[in-house]
Amino acid sequence: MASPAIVLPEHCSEEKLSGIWSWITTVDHKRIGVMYGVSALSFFVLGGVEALAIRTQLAMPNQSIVGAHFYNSLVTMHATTMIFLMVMPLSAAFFNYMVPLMIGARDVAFPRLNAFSFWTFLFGGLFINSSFFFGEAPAAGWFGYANLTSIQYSPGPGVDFWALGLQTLGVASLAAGFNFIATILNMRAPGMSLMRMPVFVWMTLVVQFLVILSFPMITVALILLSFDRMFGTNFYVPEAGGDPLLWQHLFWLFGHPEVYILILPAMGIVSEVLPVFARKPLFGAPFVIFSGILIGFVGFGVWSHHMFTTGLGPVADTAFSLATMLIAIPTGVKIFNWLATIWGGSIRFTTAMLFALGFISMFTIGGLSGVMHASPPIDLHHQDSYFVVAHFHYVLYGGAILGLFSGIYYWFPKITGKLMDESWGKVHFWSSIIGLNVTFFPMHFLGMQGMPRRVYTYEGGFGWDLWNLCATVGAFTLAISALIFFINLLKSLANGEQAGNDPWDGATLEWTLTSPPPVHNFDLMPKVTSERPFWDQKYGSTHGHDDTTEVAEEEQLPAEIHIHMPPASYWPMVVSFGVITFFGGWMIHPAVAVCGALTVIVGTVAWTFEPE
Amino acid sequence: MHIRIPSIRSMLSSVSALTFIALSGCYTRFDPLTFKDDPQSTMMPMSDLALSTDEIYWPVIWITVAIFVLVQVLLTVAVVKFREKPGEPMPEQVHGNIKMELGWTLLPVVILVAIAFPTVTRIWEAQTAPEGEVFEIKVVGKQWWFAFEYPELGLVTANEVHLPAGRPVHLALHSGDVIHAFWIPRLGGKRDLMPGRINHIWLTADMPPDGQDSIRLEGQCAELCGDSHALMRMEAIVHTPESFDKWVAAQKQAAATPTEPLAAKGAETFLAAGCIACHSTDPSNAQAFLAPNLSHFGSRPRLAADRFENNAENLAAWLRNPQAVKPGATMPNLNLNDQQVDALVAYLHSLK
Repeated sequence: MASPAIVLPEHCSEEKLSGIWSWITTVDHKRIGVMYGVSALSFFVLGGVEALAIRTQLAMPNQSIVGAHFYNSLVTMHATTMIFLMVMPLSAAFFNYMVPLMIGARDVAFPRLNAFSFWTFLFGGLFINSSFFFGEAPAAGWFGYANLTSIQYSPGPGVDFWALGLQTLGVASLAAGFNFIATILNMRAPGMSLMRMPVFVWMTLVVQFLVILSFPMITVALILLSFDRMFGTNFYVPEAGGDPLLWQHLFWLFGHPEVYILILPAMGIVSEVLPVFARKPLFGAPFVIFSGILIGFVGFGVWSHHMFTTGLGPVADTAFSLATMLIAIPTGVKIFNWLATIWGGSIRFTTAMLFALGFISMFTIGGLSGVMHASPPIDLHHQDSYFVVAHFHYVLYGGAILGLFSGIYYWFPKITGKLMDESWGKVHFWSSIIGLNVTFFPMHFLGMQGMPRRVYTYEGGFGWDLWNLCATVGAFTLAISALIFFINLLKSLANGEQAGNDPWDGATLEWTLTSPPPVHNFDLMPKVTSERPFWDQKYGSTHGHDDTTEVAEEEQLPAEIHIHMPPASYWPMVVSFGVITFFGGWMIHPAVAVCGALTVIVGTVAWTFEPE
Repeated sequence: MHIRIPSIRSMLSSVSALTFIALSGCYTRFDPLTFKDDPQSTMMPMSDLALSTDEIYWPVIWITVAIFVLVQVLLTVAVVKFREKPGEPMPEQVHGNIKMELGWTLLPVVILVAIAFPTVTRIWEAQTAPEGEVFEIKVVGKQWWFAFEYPELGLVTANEVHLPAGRPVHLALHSGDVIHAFWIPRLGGKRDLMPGRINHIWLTADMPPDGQDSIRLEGQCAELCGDSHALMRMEAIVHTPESFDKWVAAQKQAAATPTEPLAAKGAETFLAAGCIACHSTDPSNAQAFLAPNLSHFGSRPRLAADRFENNAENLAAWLRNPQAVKPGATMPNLNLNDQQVDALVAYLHSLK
C-alpha cells in the first residue's frame, strides 16, 4: 500500500523557503539551529584571534605588543566570547537542530520564541563586540568583580557594554530555556518515556533547567551593577556600605552552574557518539542520566569554591570544599560508564568517534585538576594562577569544544546531506590534541611556578619563559587545526560525498529521516518503544522482549495527511531589536531605551495577533 | 559486660588520623616538579603554613596521577583491543551492570574521603590564630603597590615586607581601593585584600637556609585589579632574629640628610615639585598609605612595586613619565626637566 501523500501549507513551498528574507523570518528549528551554528563558529574565530593576541604578547618576557589596558580587554573579551558567544550558542545549535528530530517532533514548542532567542543572542553578541569600535572594550574580566567595575575604577564605557550585553544574552538564554523545557517535556513522540529519551536530550533538559535557575541570578547582579554605574546607587561600593563580595556570591551562583551549562551538552553528544561507533548501547544509561541530573543539582551548591581566597571563614570553606568533592563522584561515574560503553565493542574510528574518545581523555585531566582545587589549602595556591587556566581550558577545550566538534562531524551529514572529509577530519583531530596539550599542559607548571593569571607582561628569571613560549607555539598549532576544520567544513559543504539517511548506522530517530530532513521532519509520528528506536527497527530489540519501533499501522492511514507548520514571521526579530535597543539605549539616552521598550511592546502585541 | 561504643566524633577523628597516616605515606616530593630554582615556586615551602599545604599537595598529585593513568590505560586498551575487525559479529549488547557501576561510584567516594579529612583539618588550622604572642603586620593593597605597617615597631615599608623567622606572624590584610590578593607562594597560599573587610594570614617563617642572615622571597598580586595588575609585585625578606633586629634599628633611623650637592638639590626638588605631598620620608609615618614611604628608598633593590631594578636609568624613566612605566599609575607626570630628574635620582638613591 502506498504511503499517504503529505500536504504541507503553502508557506512551506520551495520558493518561499529561499532567499535571505526567508532566513530572517524563519521559525524553522533547523534553520535557526544552522544560524546559531554559523554565528557561534564566527565568534569562535573572533575569540581565537583574541587568544592568539594574548599568547603573542606572552610568548616572551617583557613584551609590549599590546598595552596593559587593551590586554585586559583581550582577556575579558576572549572569555566572554568563548563562553557566551561560542560554546553556549554552538550547543544551542545542536539543541535546536537535533532535539526535535531526536524526540520525534515537528518543531520546538514555541517556534517564534525560538527565532526571538536567536536574534536576541546575535544582537547581544554584536553589541558587546561593538565596544571595540566605541572607545573601550570591557577590561574588568569576564567575571567583572566589583568594585573594579565601579565607575570610579572603570570609567570607560566597556563595563556598560559588557553588563548590558550580558543582560541581553541572558534574555535570549532564558527564552530558549523555557522553550526547550516545554518542547522536551511535551512534544516527545508516542512511547518516548523520559527514560527512553536519548542522553543528549536529557543533558539538554538538565542544561535548560540550569539556565532558567541560574541566569536570573546574574540578571539581578548585573542590574545592581548597572544601577551603581548609571544611577549612583551603592550596592557594591564599600565606602558607602555596599559589599563587593555580594557581587561574587551572585556572580558565582550563576557562574558555577554556567560551567555545567557549558560541559553537559558535550557530555550528551559524547554519550550519543560512543555507542553508535562502538556498536553497543550506552553502558548504564540511567547512571549517566542521573549523574547528569545530580551534577545539575549539586552544581548550585558549590559556588563559593571560586571564593576560597576571599576569607569566608572555615565553616563556609569546609562546606563548599566537601560539596565540590561530592560533584566529582557523578563526573567520575560518567567517565567509567563511557569506558565501559566502548569496552567489548566494535569500534569504528571515524572523526566523530576520535573527538569523543579525545573528550574522555582530555576532560579527565581537567576533571582531576578540579578535584585538586576542591581542597582549599591547594586552591589557595591554584586560585588566580596559571594552574587554573590550565584546568578550565582542559574542561572547556578538551571537554566542551572537543565534544562539540564530535557533534559537528557526527551530525553534519544529517544537516547538509554530505559527509565531512574523514582524512582532513583526522588531521584536524590530531592537530587539535597536540595543540591543546602543548598549549595548556605547560600552564600547570606555570601555576606551580607561581605565575598569576591575567598579567599582561612578566619578567624573565622566574622559570616562566620556556613554558610561555611553549604555550604560544601550541596556541598557533590550535589555530592551524581550527583553520583545517574550517577548510574541511567549506570543502565538504561544496562537494562532500553524499551521506544518505543513515551514514553511521545510528540508533536514534534523526537517522530515520532524509538528510537534510524535510521541513516538517516526520511524515508520521514515530512510535517509540525503547531508547534505541531506529536500532531496534534495524536489528531487533536487545531488551529480550519484542518492543520494536513501528510506524503507525498502514491500514489506519488516510490517503492525505495535512500537516500544520507555523508561518514565517519577522516579529521575533523586531522584538529582539527592541530588547537590544532597550538595553543598549541606556548608554545613549533614556529616551532611546524607552523607544526600545515600546518596540518590544508593539512587537509582542503584533506577534500575538499574527494570524496563523 | 559493658561495651563502650565509641562516639561519632572519636570515630571520625580516628578515621581522619588513619587516612592522614596513609596519605603521609604518599608524601613524596618529585624534584623536577618543585621548581626549586624558581623564586616564586609554590612547591618550595618556607613556612609552617606553606609546609602544611605541601603535605597535602603531593599526596593529592599522586592520587590524581594514578587515576589519570588508570583512565588512559583503560582507554588505550579498549581502543586497541576493541577496534572493528572485518567480518566481526555484532558485539554483545550490554546495557549495563549495576554492581560494577556501584563499584566505580563508591571508589571515588573512598578517595575523596581520604582527601577530605586532611583538607578540613588544614582549613581550620590555617584560619585559627596561634596562641601566645604574635608579631603583627598590617598589609594594605593599593593600585598598584603594597604598604606594610609594623605597629609594634612604629615602622612602615612599601613593597617589601620584613619578617622575623621563627616567630608567629599575623598579616592583617586590607585594601585601599579594589580587590587585590596577597601571594608570596613560598610562604603559603594567597588571600584576597578586600575593600571594607580585613582578612588574616597566620604563619611562622622558616629560618633562612645555609646560615644566611636573610632570604628574599618573591610575590605578587594575584587578583585582577586594573591596568597594571601585572606590575604589582612585592618581596618578603625573612630575617634571622639578629638580622631582623639589625634591620629594625637601621629602619628606625630618620631618612639621611643629603651631603652631596646634587642630592641636596634633589631634596629641595622633592619639596618644590610636590613629591612630598604624597610620599613621606619619615619611616614611622603610618598615615602614609597614600603613596610608598621613601625613607630608605636607596636601600631597596627594586622600584615601582618591586618590578624594575632600582638603578639611575630606571628611576629617571619613572620620574619622567610614571604612566609609561606603569600604565594607569596614580603618580602624575610632573613634567620634570632633566636637571630635576638627575637631582631627584641622586637624592632618592642617597636615602639608604
